[in-house]
Amino acid sequence: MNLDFNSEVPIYLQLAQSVEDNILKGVFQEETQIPSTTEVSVSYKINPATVAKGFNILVDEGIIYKRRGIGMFVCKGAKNKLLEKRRTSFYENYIESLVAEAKKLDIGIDEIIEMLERSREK
Amino acid sequence: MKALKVAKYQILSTIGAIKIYYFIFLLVLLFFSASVTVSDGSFSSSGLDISTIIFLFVVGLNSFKTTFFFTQANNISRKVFFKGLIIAVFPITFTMSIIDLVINRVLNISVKCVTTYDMIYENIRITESGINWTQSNDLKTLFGTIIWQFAIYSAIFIIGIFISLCYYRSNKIVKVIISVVPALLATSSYKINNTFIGIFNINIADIISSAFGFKSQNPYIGVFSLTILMIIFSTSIYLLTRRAVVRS
Amino acid sequence: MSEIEVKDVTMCYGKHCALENISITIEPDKIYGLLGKNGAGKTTLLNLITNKLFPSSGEITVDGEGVRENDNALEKIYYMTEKDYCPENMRVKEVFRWTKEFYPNFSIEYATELCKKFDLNQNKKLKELSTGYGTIAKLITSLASNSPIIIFDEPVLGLDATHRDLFYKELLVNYMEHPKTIILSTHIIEEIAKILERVIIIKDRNVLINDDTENLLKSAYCVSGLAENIDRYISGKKCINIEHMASYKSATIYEKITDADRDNAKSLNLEFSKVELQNMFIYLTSTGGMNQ
Repeated sequence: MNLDFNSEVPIYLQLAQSVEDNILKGVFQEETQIPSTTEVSVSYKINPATVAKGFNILVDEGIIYKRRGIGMFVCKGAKNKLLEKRRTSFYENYIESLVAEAKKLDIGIDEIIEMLERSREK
Repeated sequence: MKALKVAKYQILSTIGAIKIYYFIFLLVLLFFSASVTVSDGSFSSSGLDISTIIFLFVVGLNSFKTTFFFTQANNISRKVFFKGLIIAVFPITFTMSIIDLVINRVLNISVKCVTTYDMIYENIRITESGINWTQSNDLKTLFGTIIWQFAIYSAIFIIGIFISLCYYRSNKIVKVIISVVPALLATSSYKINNTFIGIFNINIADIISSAFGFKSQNPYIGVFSLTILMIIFSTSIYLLTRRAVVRS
Repeated sequence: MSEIEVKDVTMCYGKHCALENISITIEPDKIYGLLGKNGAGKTTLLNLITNKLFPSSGEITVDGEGVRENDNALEKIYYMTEKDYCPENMRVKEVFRWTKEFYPNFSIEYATELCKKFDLNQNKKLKELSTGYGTIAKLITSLASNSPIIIFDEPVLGLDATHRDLFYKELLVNYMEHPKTIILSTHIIEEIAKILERVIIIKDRNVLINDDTENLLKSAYCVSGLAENIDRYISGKKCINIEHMASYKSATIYEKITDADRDNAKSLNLEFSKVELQNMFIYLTSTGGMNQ
């Protein structure tokens, strides 16, 4: 899991996103255990409360759940939930910033479409 | 009880010094037959109890700071530190009193050896033909010796602690005063005594003699006065410790 | 679960006052950072909390009981001091033994385990240890004490990077296994920024900040761009630091970003970035910096 401590995004959010990414990538399979609060806290030297906050977001969204005495596990159907969520925010997170950057570099919409088709061929 | 643990620490840190002290003393005795002749050589004093008094005074001087710092490191209140420090004095001095008595009686097998107690409180008659005295081993003498030595060792230990505490808590000026005044008093004690007799008609030397039972040859008066002294100095130690602060 | 309350404490030495009217509540089982410039009064405050000094006025309590000469309250706190209070002839293992006498929850097995991890020889006398290892001996003793409150005054003095890293990790493991109140007083801020849940900053004899780390960091931001644009942007704002680099400027603003600010910045071609804890500390405590 990659955490960028220089980023604008608060660490607990980055943590939640990182877990989500790994679920989507298939690194964390459904009904398997993810790294515990202790492991994350010690590895990255972060206060456990921060780690717990990140995990709680995912618990609230039904992505992960706690098995008492054992640890955090990925919920069944988490992957699909995440796909849904990410699809919805795809426009905001990627399209809008792509357009803004293109504007900065004076790249027109047609050029963008051409680039997209080029990447599709790869 | 925490105070007992503090006392245990204080005792254990002193034991090393005590072992070395006795080792050196017996070594000196063995190789040099050191003695202080009193008169015609028919008996002598080993100087053991005087040495022990000096030794315990020095131990007292060294005890306050290290034990205080150590108890502060372990977040112990000054009250408990004080209790432990004072409690620790008595097992040490009592043991040394007995050891000194035993050494003295063992020495008496070969040489007639007086203790300071004997010199003060026992009848040592000086006649024309020499000193007439045998070491008494009856219960009264033994018990008196142990108790009296115990009292004076404890008192001097506590005074040593008191003086080192005074030093610790004073600034430079007061330190100088503390160093100089007792020495001045000691050297001019005769003059001071005479002045007091002249002006107030009070013979301080006489009062001290009575208080410590020299004249009446009663050691228990001495023990009582020493106990009073111990109480006074211990109380002073408590009052000075109350606001003591750790400084390097 | 032990709470410390500092109630309106003032500490003066004659005319000079080190702390004035300080009131803080240290909540149970959280990791606190106590920050302040050299001489700001951090160690004085810690000495007051641990009965090494007596306040000129005010009171300090642990779980409602005053700490002054109170062994009941004092034995809940283990204080790792910057100065050395143990006799230098004592061996490390003796320090452990004696600490166990006074702190019954002290675990000698855990201390031994930590000695192995830090590569500290228990048989050595304290005076034989280097500065770094002297500190290590003290922090192992602190961690193994298992007190409800542990106070560390400069816990990584003289420690190399490996040992500092190891200390932070062991601290977290210890904290998670046995939740306790931890106070870290240090100058090495950035390394521990993520470990701290709350931050207390002492400045000018007072408490300047006593807040969650997250809140504190959210309360300021950095904005950078062309010098004239920055000057225009920051007018009317609480600016606590400015960096010049030729025609480029970077300003730190002690306010929360509003949407109006974002629009303003966009129009002036300025970029936002976050402020790190150490920089926040430097700006807030510099003379002429913020006074709350």
